[in-house]
Amino acid sequence: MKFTCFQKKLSDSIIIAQKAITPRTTLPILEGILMTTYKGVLKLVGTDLNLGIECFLEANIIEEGAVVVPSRIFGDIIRKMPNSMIEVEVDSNYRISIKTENSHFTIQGVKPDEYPELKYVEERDPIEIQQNLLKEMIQNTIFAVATDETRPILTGALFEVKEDNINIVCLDGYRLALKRGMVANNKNISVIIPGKTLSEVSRIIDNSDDKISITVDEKHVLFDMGYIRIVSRLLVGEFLNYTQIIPQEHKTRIRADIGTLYDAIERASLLAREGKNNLIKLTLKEDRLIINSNSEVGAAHEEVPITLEGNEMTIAFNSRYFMDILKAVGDEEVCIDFTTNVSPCVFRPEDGDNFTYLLLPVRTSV
Amino acid sequence: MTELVVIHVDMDAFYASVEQRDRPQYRNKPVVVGGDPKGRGVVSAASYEARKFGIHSAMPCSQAARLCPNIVFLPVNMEKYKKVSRQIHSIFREYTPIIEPVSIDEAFLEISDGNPIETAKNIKKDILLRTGLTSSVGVSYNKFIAKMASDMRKPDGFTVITPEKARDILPRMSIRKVWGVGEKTERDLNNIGIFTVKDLLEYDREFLLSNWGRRAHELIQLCRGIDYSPVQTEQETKSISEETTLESDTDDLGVLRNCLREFSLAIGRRMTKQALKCRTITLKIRYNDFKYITRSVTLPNPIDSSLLIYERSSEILKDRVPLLKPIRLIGLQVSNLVYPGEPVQISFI
Repeated sequence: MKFTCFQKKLSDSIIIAQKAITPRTTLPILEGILMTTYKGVLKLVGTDLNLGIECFLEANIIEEGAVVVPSRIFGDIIRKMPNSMIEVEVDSNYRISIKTENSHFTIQGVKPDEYPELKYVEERDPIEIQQNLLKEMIQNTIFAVATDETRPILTGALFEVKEDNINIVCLDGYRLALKRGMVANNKNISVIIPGKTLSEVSRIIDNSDDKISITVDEKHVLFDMGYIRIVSRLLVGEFLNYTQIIPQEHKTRIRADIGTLYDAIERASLLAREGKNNLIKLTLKEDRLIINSNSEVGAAHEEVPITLEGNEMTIAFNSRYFMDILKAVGDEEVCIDFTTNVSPCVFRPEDGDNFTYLLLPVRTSV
Repeated sequence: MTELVVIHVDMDAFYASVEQRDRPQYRNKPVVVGGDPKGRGVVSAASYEARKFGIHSAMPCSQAARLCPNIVFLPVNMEKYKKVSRQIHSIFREYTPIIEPVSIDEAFLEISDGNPIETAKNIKKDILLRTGLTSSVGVSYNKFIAKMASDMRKPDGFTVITPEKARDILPRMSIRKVWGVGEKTERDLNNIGIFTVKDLLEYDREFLLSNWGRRAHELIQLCRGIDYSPVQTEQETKSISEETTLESDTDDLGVLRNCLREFSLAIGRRMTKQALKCRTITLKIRYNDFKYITRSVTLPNPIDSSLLIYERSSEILKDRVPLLKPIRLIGLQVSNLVYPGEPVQISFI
C-alpha cells in the first residue's frame, strides 16, 4: 500500500476519525484507525463499536491496500509535519513509512483483518437539516444529558421529528433542555441518540448552512456529510414523557437582561461551594432579583433589576445548572416562570416555542 | 505560643493491652494482635513483652512467630477497640472540647484554661481508672513537641517539655524523629551529613531551601521547635469505607459479593448512626499482581440503604470489574455525603 496526499487534509481527517476512538478500550485494535485505499480516495475509520466515523479524502493512490495505524502516534506525527506532500508506504509486515522532503518515520501498524466491520447504514429516506441549525440545537441541549449510568437511557438525547418540527430533548433529572427547529420534512421519527454521538457530531459539522443528511433505522443513525459519515447505535428504551414534566402554569414570572443576570450569578457562584450543590439563593422582591451565596470564604450579595409579575418568593438553585441554561438561552428574549420553591422553574422564549428549559431547585430546609 | 497547652495522649500497645486486660492469662506475656500467623496476616499491635523480641507492628505474623516461638497470637477485635476508644474520647470531652483524633489510640487535646499539667495527669489517671489501660502522655506548647514528649517515656509515661527543655533536648534528637522525616528523607539528609536536629540547624540554610524548598522551611521550623499547626477538632466525614485483604486471592464472584454484602451493612449502619446519605459509591479492587483499580457510580439522588449500596456495588463488580486475574483486596467506599438538614437538589426522576 502506498499513497501521497497533503499533510493538512490527512491531519484534519485523522482528527475527525479519532473522535470515535476511546482511549481506554478493552480491544487494543480499536486504538487504531483503519486506513483503506480506493481509486483516488483514502478512507479512514475510527470506532468504539457504539460510534463509528468514516472520513474520505483525496489522495494519490500508488498501490492499493489497507492497514490499521496506531491512532495517537500516527496522528501526532502527521500533525507535526510541514504542510506539504506526505508519502505513506506500508510493507507486507505492516510497517508504515511516513516521508516528507526532510523527514522519515517508520512505525508498526496492524493487519486490518481483525478490525471490526462498521455497521453499514444506507442513506435512505433521509432528513435534511442545515448544519449550523443542527449544531446550535445540539450545543444548546447537550449540557443537560445525564452523565451517570444509573438510568442509561438518559445519557442519550431524544431526537424527534414531527412533520416540520425537529426537537432535541435532553434531561438528567435535575434539568431539561428542549430545543425546536424547523425542517421541510414530512416524517415522524422518535429515537434516542447517545449524548456522546451528538456532541461529536456537533464538533464535526460546520457552521455553514450546508445540509447534513440524517438516516435512522431500527438500531442505528447515520449522519452523512458526503466526505464524512458518522454511524452510531441508538439507545433502546423508553425516554421520559417530557411533556408531562413541563408545568404549564406559573405563579411568578420574571423578565431580566440575561447577560446581566448571568454575570451576577457567575460572580455569586465564586463563593458557592462546589461540593454543596453550588448553592445560590434567589430572592424575587419587587423589581429586584437578589442573589446570595456563602461559604467558609465569605458571602456574596448581588442585585439584578427585573420585572416581576405575581408572587414574591425565595428559591435556591445550583448555580452551575442555572448558568448552563442562561448560556444556552443566549441573547434571546426570555421569561422565567416559578410556581413554588420546590417545583420546577421554566425558561421560555418571549415569543414562539423554539426552546424550553426547566430546572429543579435545591431544597434548603428539612 | 509558649504556654503549655497541648496534650498528646498515646495508648500503650493499644490492641494488645486491651486483650491482655480482658484475658488475664496473657498478662506479662508476649502477645501479638493481628492476622493468622499461618496465613499472610501482619502484626497490628505487639505487647511490650513481645517488642523485646524485636517484634513490631506491620511485621508479617509468620516472622513474629519465628522471632518468638512462644508468642500468643490473638485475632483483631476491632469493635471492642473502637468501644474502648470511644470511652477514652468521652474522658477527653470531660476536660476539653478541642480534640484532634489522630488514630484509634492517639489524640491531641488543647487546654485553653486551668492547669494543663494537672489536667493531663487527671486524664491519664481517669483512663487507667475507667479502662484499666495505661497511656503515655506528653504536655507541651505545640503538637510536635507534645508528641515528642509522649514518645520519650513509654509505656505509662508522663512527660512535660517546656520551651527551655525543648531547646535542650531537640538538638540531640535524631532527625528521623522529626515530623515528616521518613525513611527516604532520612537517607537523603544522612547523605549530606545530617543525622541530628543540631546538624540540620547548623547546615547551610540556603542550600536546604534551594533543594527542598518549602519542605525544608517546615523542617527547619520543626527543628527549632516551632509548630503552629492548630489542634483540629474532628472534621466532617468525607467518606466512609470498608475493605479487606482476602484470605486467599479469588475470582469467585460469590465470595466477592459476600464481602460487599458485609461492607454494605457496616457502611449502612455507620451512615444511619450519623443520619448521612451518600451519592457516590466506589468499588476498590487490588488484583494479585497488586494492580489497583477503582470504579464508581454517582447517583442522582442520595441514598442511605445498605441494600441499595449492596445492589449498586455488586452491579459495578459484575459489569465493570474484569475478573481475568484473581483479586487480592476488595473495598467499598461511599462519598459525596449529604448531612441531615443540608440542601438537596430536587430531582424529577
